[in-house]
Amino acid sequence: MCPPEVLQNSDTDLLDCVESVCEKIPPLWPLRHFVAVNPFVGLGHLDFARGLETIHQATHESATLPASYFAKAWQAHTITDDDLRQACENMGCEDGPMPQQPPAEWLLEKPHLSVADVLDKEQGSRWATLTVEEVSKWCAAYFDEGQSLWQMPWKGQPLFRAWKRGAEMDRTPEVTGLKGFRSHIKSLPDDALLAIEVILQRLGLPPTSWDAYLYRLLMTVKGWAGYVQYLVREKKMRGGSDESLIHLLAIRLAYDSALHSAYGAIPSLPLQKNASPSPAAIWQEALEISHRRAWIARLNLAGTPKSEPVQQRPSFQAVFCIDVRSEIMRRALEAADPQAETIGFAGFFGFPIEVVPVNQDHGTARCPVLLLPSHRIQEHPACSDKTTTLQAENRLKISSQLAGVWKTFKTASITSFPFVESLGLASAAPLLRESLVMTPAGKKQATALDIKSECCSESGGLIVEDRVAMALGALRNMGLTKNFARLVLICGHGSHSANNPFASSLDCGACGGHAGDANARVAATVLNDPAVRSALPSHGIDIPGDTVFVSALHNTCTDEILLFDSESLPATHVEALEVVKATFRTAGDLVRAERSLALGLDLVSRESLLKSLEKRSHNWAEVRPEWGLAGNQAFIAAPRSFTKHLKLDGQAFLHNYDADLDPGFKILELILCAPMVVANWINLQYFASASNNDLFGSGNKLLHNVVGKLGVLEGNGGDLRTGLPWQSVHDGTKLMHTPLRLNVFIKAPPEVMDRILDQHESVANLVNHRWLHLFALEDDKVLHRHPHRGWEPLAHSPKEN
Amino acid sequence: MTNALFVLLLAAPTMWAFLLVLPVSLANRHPLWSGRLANAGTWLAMIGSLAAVGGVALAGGTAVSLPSGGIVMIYLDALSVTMAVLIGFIGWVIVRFSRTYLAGEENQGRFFQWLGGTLGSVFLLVISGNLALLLAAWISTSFCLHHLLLFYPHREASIISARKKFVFSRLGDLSLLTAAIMIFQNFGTLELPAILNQARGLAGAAVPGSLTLAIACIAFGAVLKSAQFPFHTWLPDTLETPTPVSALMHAGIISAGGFLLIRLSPLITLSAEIMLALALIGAFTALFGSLVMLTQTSIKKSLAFSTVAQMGYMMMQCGLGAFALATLHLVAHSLYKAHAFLESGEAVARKPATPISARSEKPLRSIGGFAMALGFGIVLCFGIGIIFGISPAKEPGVVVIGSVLIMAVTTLLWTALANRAAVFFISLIMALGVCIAYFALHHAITWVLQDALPAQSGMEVMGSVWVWGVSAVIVAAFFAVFLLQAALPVLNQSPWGQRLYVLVFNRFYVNAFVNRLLLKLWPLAKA
Repeated sequence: MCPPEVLQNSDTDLLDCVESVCEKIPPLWPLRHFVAVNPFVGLGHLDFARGLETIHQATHESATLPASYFAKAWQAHTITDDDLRQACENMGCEDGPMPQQPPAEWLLEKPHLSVADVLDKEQGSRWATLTVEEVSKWCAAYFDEGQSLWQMPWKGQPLFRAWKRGAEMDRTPEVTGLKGFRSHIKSLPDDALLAIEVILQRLGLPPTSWDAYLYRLLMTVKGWAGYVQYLVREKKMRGGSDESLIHLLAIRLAYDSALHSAYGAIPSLPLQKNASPSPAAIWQEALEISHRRAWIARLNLAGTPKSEPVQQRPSFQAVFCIDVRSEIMRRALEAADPQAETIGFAGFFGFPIEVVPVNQDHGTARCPVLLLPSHRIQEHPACSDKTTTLQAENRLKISSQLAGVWKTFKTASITSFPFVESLGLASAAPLLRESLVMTPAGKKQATALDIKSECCSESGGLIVEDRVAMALGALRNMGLTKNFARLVLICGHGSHSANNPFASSLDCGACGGHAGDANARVAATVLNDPAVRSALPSHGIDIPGDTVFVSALHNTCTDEILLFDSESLPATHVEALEVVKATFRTAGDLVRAERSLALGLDLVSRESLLKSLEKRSHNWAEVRPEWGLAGNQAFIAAPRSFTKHLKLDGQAFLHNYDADLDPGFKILELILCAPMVVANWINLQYFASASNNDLFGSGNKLLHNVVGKLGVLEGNGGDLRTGLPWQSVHDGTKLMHTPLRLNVFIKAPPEVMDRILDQHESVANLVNHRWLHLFALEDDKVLHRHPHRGWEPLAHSPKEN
Repeated sequence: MTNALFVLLLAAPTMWAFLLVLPVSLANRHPLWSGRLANAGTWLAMIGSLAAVGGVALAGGTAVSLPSGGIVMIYLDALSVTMAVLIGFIGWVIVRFSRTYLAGEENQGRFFQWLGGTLGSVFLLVISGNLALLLAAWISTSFCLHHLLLFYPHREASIISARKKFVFSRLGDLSLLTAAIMIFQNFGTLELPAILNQARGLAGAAVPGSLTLAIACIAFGAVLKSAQFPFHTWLPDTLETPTPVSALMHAGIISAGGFLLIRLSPLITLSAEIMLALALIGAFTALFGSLVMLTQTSIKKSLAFSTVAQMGYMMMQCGLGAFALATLHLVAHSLYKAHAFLESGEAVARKPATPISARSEKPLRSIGGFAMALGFGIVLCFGIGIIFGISPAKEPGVVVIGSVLIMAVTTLLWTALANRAAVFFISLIMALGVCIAYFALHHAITWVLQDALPAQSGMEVMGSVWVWGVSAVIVAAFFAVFLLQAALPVLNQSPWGQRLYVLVFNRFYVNAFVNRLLLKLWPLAKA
């Protein structure tokens, strides 16, 4: 924390202060594996309402929807008097007068102004924009991952020093009108922290306002700051340390310092005044209460089946990711085959692996970002024997090197001129092909890769003990310990879209922003492994000999389910698998019909719908291939029997959880600490991107410009953009995601949840500081956990709608 | 038959004009229909231009106006129908793309109106047979484009870039207007066939000063339109508009300057001085643009500077009298760049490039390899060139352009040397393919355009000392950049190389300077 008034500004205080500012920055994953991030993750120590105000002071923007949205909801009676009253009560502001209707605009705290902001306000200049432009320019050069062929010469040096080398020669600020910039930069120390100290002294700011000032500065470049935070986080998780974020802060500060020395302005940092929650926070709470009524009604109506029906063996079992898109598919599958059982579990299926693609040395983590991969799995071309595998690998290596040579020929200076003259005309072919959305058939087979040999050989991948341990963990945590069907499908998900920088945002978050096929295949292979199968009974899990695990991938764009490695299926199961495939096709039709409305597609016939979705997923002009997780509102951890009869419209994360099978509540602890947090991250990402896309979202896809192969800029430049594109949450006429904090319903004893929260501060913060709403499902009622008053039955009568 | 062609060719612009004159509110209320109308225009353009190709192939070049002698005259020859087919096709691709891409946008109808307007203007520009009509189409192109650049009128950066473009465009308009007046004074007509005929007749004769001024004005207009240094700065900053507009600009509109020079080439060749100036400006722009391109960190900026470079190269070819090659370059670049822009969203999925500056071959080994690659390059290019009967004596531009081809092939092979032997071998075959494609296309385009272009270039008139001098300077400059690029790994370690990097990365500060000037002269309204 930043020092209180009286303390000296010694080095350690400054370092503490700078570090605490840096901690407030949420990480931003690169687009290769774009993972949903809670944009408020660094503000968890603050209450939701206070967090919104902090964001506003630092960014000058509101983190909720504009007041006019709430006014409309109020006029339409979506938000009622009761909702508002209850919101006030929940937020502890009963004593004040209850707001009568939403104001025309939110009354917000006075913003914090940097030197650039102050100058712009006084002189009508554009320094705020120009400084961001400069910082962004150098960050892009430093972090570029393969766009430029002539790279920044100082990439190997620490960020601040590298920037300083360049900035000392950069005339741009001076050409733009900032006098003495280069000599000013030269006068700064090479060490970032020292530079920060020197500049803060020159500005004469008291230590009490450091925090506000430095946070404002970092938030002006919060995109790059987020990317740096991601790099820092990756290093820290692997036991390293990285001060790059402090360096970025020093860079941004240096521009303010140069402006200060040229124009003499100083930052303006008014204190927070409001003690009670802002109207924006209260109205947001009221909106959520109004939407929650339907959930409570649904869950009450569902009730708990008093006695589980005696379970016969299901026709097949299918494990899906907890992703909200799985809810529709699971419901459809159960409708297509009432004897089928579906299970919801995090889409990496308990196998936190790193997958190394063919001919590459480094792989990518296929697990939730809260974890580090535990095992490395090598991909190989699918071939019958070693020699052909080697040959195939060789061919791939040659073609990849050729592609590199060709790329240089195409894009380097000099070579690009004859390239255009000799081969530019050939571009007519892809122009025609893409325009007509002609997709080369059989493209997928070519990349089908075999990972079994490595993952189950003693030398690579997983040793037997690990395989057994992972199999046990997976089965127990997903609650699949008895009554196995003959076929158990492990069904990951991924999304195919063309020409879409944000493609990975539609993939599986539990697989680290990748499709879940690799995890599903490893899981199925391990669970079919005879060594594993023979070891499991001694741990109390008896899988019948005729049970076979099959891996699959749910393409969430077309809702087709692709099966993997089914050629190795025993002949006895081939027929059963054909039946499952037919069920998948029927279910797919149901899902597509249900989704067609939101996608604006005509439901002419099943075939045409599938065709148009396939076209959509290959159309290079499509900016809304699918709706991803838009609409998510709830997380439910309960036995499937509890939700089976409910149509949840793809709005709920469904995690199987049966407290009876969890005597020590270890599984519950895991659910609260991992899947719930991941769902909360996704939920708040959508919340923020829908509430204020300018601030938290990545803006308009039509203007996106991929920078450094890692992120996007919008239009000519500016900061790296964070969050989801506007087209991911809005269909052109209305929001497709109503920003609502996540309602978490868990069928578990409330006092146990309390105990678990006590042990995990960051998770408890989410609940106690209202970044999500936690509910306990009991047999006849729903309990809400109030941050101060503890568990209390919900005031709503379930009959009220 | 020519009358039928006339009607057919004007059908597309008429369709787009009809769409444009509809009330904006109506168009916005019916975005699907606006898109359909714009699309129908592209079909008409493709049908009309393909019919015109047939007409020209059967009957040769022709000009027709209705009523006879009117301003609305179209001129059909190999050049104009090639361009018309190109614009019809690119227009079809872009309209089709936009109909999906812009779905849900509030002002979709307005977008298609101005998109249609722009396409119609460019289409008219390339087929017009009257300088007045051409000038009108020229102005209308940039006017319609201005509205597309301001598709998001509330974005500050969008306003700045549209204004920058506006200023340069008006300068260009003024320049062309002056040229038109001078031409009318000299030739007494604005009809292109007559102008070109008279200009052909003047070849070798003394050219009056007012006509030289006209040529200079045309060249200046082309330099502005085709984003030549230092007037390029409006181009890379036009990313504040939806991707298909960028594609259209970079694939179509930007080439208008080059087209104008090629169209009027019999006139342009009358002034060897201006041609040499064009060659130098073009060569400098090509090298400038391609160097800046190497340092850009975002896909669209890289593409934008690639366009600057390619336009420079095209301009240089015009200046060297290689108008046929310039036409080939123009068409090929349009297709290439339209595709590259539209698929720029794939940048994340595509494998990252290996930076040249980060290569780590041992210098000695690489010098040997370099010499070998250069040897292969020279043999390949000369060999194939001779087979195709290219002779430098006939076309001085060939020396320059052939040298660039050699450097390119050398770079290709040298890059391949860092990999396995098999890769080098295949690259050798690829290099062979490139050379064959290059000379075959060169041969083909020269044959296609033989009637549309001047029989002899002004360079020959000028005297060989100048021509060879300028050519030598240009080849030397290209060679310097070629070496500089090869030496980047070493250069990046040296102080002056680092200085050069900062200069190039910041695009020689031209943009920052122009932006400041613009905001001073034309300040943004205070919010």
